[in-house]
Amino acid sequence: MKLIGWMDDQLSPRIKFSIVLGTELELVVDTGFNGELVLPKTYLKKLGFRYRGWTLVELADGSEVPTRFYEGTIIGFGKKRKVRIHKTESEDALLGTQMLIGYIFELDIEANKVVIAKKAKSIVQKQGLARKHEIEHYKCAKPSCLTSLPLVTAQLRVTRLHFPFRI
Amino acid sequence: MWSSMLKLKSSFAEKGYGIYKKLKRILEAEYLGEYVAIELKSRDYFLGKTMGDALDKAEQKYPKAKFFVVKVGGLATASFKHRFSL
Repeated sequence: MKLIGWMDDQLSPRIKFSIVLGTELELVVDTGFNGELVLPKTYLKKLGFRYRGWTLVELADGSEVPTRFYEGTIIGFGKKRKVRIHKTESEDALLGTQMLIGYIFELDIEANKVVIAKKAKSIVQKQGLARKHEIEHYKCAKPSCLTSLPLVTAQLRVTRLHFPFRI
Repeated sequence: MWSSMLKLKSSFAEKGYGIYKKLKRILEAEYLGEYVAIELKSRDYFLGKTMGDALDKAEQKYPKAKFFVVKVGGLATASFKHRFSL
């Protein structure tokens, strides 16, 4: 799954994103926003998202301001997910970093290209398995000295003490 | 600064914040960093590791209600590092 976007004339990364079946929205990818979505109120009404209450958000000057939030199910990156949406008076719809978890976000300003691509699961799993395997292997080498140590410390200690003897 | 801003914007948020202030001591002692969704009429509250978790629990009990949601300790549930207004 890959989304290709572009840089607008103010150098903001933009992508087209399918939110509800048949509705594609142009969003600014805002890495300074750590939530999910921000939408102008016209879209919130049009797309039928439910008003769910109020919350507080922190702005660039450090102030915390109350704001309404909405909730809805969207089709984001090809699969359904429930999201919390903040309302904005601005015309820009924003995609926050919480929506990018599990994805790689690339910017090439000179080439005017923005890419959001799903992180390959096999690589993540391989790294996870390799690390687990490495730790288990070291644990087996000298289990008696590892019992009371956290795994990371244990790994370092075994690497230093026992690795030369194994050669 | 805070309460004057709330008065200007929403009596719902002001009431929610009032309830949170009363719960603050208990919540911050045990649930610092978690999210709390408060149902204003009953003053019932629901905790979760994310805003979504807290809301899902709250909605199970009060499917039609509106909630005031904050992060325990930090209050803001999202930050806009590039913006001075929403």
